[in-house]
Amino acid sequence: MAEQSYDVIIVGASFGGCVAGKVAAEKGLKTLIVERASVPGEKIVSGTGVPATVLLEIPWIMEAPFERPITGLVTHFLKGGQVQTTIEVKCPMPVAFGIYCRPFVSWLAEQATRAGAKLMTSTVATDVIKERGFVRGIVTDRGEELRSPILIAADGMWSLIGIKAGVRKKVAAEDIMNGVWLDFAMPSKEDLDQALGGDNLMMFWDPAGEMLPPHGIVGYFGVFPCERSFHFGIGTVISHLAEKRINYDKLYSRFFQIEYWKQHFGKAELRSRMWRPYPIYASLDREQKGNDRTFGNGIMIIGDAAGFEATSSGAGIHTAMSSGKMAAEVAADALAEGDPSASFLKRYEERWKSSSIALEISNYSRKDISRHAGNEEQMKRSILEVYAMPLMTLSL
Amino acid sequence: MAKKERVLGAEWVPDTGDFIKISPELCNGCGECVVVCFGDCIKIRGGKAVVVTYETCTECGACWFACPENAIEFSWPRGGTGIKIEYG
Repeated sequence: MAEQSYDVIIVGASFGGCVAGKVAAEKGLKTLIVERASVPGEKIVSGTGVPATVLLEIPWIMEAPFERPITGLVTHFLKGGQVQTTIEVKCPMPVAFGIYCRPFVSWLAEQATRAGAKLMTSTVATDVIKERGFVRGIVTDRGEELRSPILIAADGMWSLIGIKAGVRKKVAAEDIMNGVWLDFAMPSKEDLDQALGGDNLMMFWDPAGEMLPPHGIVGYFGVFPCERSFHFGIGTVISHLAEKRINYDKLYSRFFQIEYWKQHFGKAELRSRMWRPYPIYASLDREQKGNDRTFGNGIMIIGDAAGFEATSSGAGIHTAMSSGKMAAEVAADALAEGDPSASFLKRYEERWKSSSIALEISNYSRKDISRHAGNEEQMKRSILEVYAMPLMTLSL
Repeated sequence: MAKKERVLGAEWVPDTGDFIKISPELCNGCGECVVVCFGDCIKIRGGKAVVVTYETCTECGACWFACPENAIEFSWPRGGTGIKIEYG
């Protein structure tokens, strides 16, 4: 029988939850991380990578299993089924690191357990324990009651714990992307280096709107490189997907006919087809964003579960890790003061609102791109301003 | 597309339990959940959506997000079961 009582329980051993777990344990808190997967990271699909900005706040991730530094961005513009224009932006140092979630997150979980956190895998938090208006712990799928004065919900964009606790609402279908991700392996690292022209991210945009759904509700075809393999894909907002009945497989098979793809990535071997939604707030005018609270009596919500995503890029790893650290620090302060009430935990929300997280989630520049629909030249400029330059200057 | 090609590069551990529950009372048979499910896990039968398999479900919750009638209750498969993604 597991021990039943902790200082802090964290639901979800992913990017945010593991950082929260390590920081909480280092602060001397009796910390439990509950994870539904048997191995941390094996439920996650991420397209992109870890932005270098994370290193400024969480320098110890330098030792993590990174697959490839990313030092450049190649932006292709499609026209008439071919690459028409290409613009390359380089940075003298890495701006992000390509990763695979399972090894990376397993490593993160190991850092948390080394610091003294307990990790309970293959365990689902099915409900929260609520007493006199306070969250007091969780109920697991084995029926155990695990108690703590503070709960950190790090359970991803579904935010089932936040909903059960009455702190958050389900995200609207207009505010979620879902797309089929493909993972390809090249015969060697050198083959991939050659195809990408170096340590580059590669994006294929469709400013004329010939292939992809409209901008604003979709991104671009993107190649997100690892050492000798890469993720490839696009996403579309779920409400648009339902309305337009987009067939990704047809979209992809059309794309793979592009001469550029055949020449550069013809040797790529498909290893995986998978999907996972992510919040994108593409509808943008909805009021929900930023209005749901991220704390309550005995609870703080971090990462995707709190709706932290960088609207323009769809990135959420930095915001997850950064908010995990903040929540753990506030938890330690709250316990030292003996006050896990919402009025104390509000400090967590005040902290992230005065941090770079607030900037990242309020960047509505994706909308600016969609404003230029029908004007290819303006759209190209806008794409470069919104994606390429900010990415290369670490401000995404 | 053949079933085994829908989800590639992943294992599936059975004994998940029914973690997607569709209320026949609330479901109006609109089929939006069917469209957004890349795993083809849901079909319309007798005018109502039903989960026909969990084997190609990646636990993405798109059906739950998409349902305009709030007829879908979404939770997680039993701990340690369901999808295991190799190259996520």
